[in-house]
Amino acid sequence: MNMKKTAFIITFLIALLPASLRVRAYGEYGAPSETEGEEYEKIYELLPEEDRRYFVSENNGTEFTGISELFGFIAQKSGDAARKYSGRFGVLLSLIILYALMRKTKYISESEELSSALFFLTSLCIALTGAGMLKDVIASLGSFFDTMNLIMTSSLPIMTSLYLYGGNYSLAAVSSSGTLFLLSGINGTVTYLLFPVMKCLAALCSVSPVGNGSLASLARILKNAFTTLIVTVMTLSSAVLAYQSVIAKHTDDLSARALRFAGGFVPVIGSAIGESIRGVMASLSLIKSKTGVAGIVVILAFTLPVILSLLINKLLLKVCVFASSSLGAEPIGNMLSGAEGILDLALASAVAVSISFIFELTVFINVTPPLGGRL
Amino acid sequence: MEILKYAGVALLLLAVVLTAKKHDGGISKVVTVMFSVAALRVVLGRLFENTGVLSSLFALGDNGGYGKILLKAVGIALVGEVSYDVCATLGENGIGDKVLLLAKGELLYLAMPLIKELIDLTKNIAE
Repeated sequence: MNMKKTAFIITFLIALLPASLRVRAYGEYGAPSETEGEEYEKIYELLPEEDRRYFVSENNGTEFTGISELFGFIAQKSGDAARKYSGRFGVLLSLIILYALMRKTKYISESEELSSALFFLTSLCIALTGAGMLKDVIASLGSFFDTMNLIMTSSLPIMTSLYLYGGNYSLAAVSSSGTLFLLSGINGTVTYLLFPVMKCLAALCSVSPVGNGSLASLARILKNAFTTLIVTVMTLSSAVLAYQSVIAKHTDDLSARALRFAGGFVPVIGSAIGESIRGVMASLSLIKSKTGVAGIVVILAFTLPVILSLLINKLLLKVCVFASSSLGAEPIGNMLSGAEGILDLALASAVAVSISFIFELTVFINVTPPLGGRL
Repeated sequence: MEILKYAGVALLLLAVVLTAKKHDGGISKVVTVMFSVAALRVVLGRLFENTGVLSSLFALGDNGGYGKILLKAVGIALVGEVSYDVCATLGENGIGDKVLLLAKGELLYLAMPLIKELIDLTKNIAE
């Protein structure tokens, strides 16, 4: 991973630190009461099934005691994702080396035709490995978008009912329409426009090594066009949320500036979250004050795996692109940098949807106090 | 430095061929063919002797089968090339060309399942 991205991730984690440090820890206040234990159980059940094992303590109880679990969770998720993808990239790298060797030395055959057939076969193997990676990314992104859509869409009627139950008819109408706009703005754009485009780009990119690589360039041009679109949608949606005072009043200027500075380093993500960073910080602060570190854990459990897997794939692809260009395997390098562009777009979309999820959760949590307090 | 050994054998054979050429041109061609086949055998043996490293690299991922396919392809290309050279030495370029064609066909035959797999994958991604 290059330095800019590392800096971004570290700053993001540091920005989360104050939120988590202020959470009441067991050590400070003694063992949790029976009611708190039940609440932890409920929050534990909210987590995706595959992530629950990260939060089981030695006596088989569930615990959200603070920052150590959070960092442990992040570290373990990163390790799992790296292990999962490193094998495939080992194969990709060895194929690139083999291709470059054949291309440079032409030691196998003096006959042009036989050499071309060999290159074709090697390119095909590389294309297949790259396509397998893109397929996995697209599949995990698809299920991430589906889950997020389901959570956000199902919370909307509950939220409106809560407002109506509290007698806030006008607020119910404003909040519903605002959130609906946000949902249809970000999720609609991502799920129904960007995602299909991403799939087509991935398909084009997969077959490009077999041809002359121009398909990967086409994929890059389309990616740039659609990146602008997602940034515009994020800006518009943030503007809508600015009117929802619940988020605006919790803004922490210093943290927001730090995160915006870090975000600016990463081309696509930086522009996607740049305009919403103030809202994100405010939302995280509100969630933390209402639910403690458990709320942050739930958000991370839903959003982090897909973002981490995209980042790790991108890092490994970068290594392969570097290897291709330095070994003189340009057609392969073209295909891989096209795939990297698609991962950029996927990362921006995943971040955009994650941000809208955080906003949605904040608005939802803010509605609950008069009726029941904590989630 | 195995190459010293092979170069020595080649020079010895050259002397034999040059001497034999004075008496019977046919013998020199037979010697050349024998040397080509022996050289191919050595190259293939050396190549597949060191495939362990390559196989272990490919075994890292789920798609380790590609390594096997590529090695097979390299073998086909080598056999095709040497056979063409032998035919050319014997003045039978026509047969040599057909051997090259057969080697190319074999390589394409190896590529067919991969092409199908790529089409399926691409279809899967785009769906």
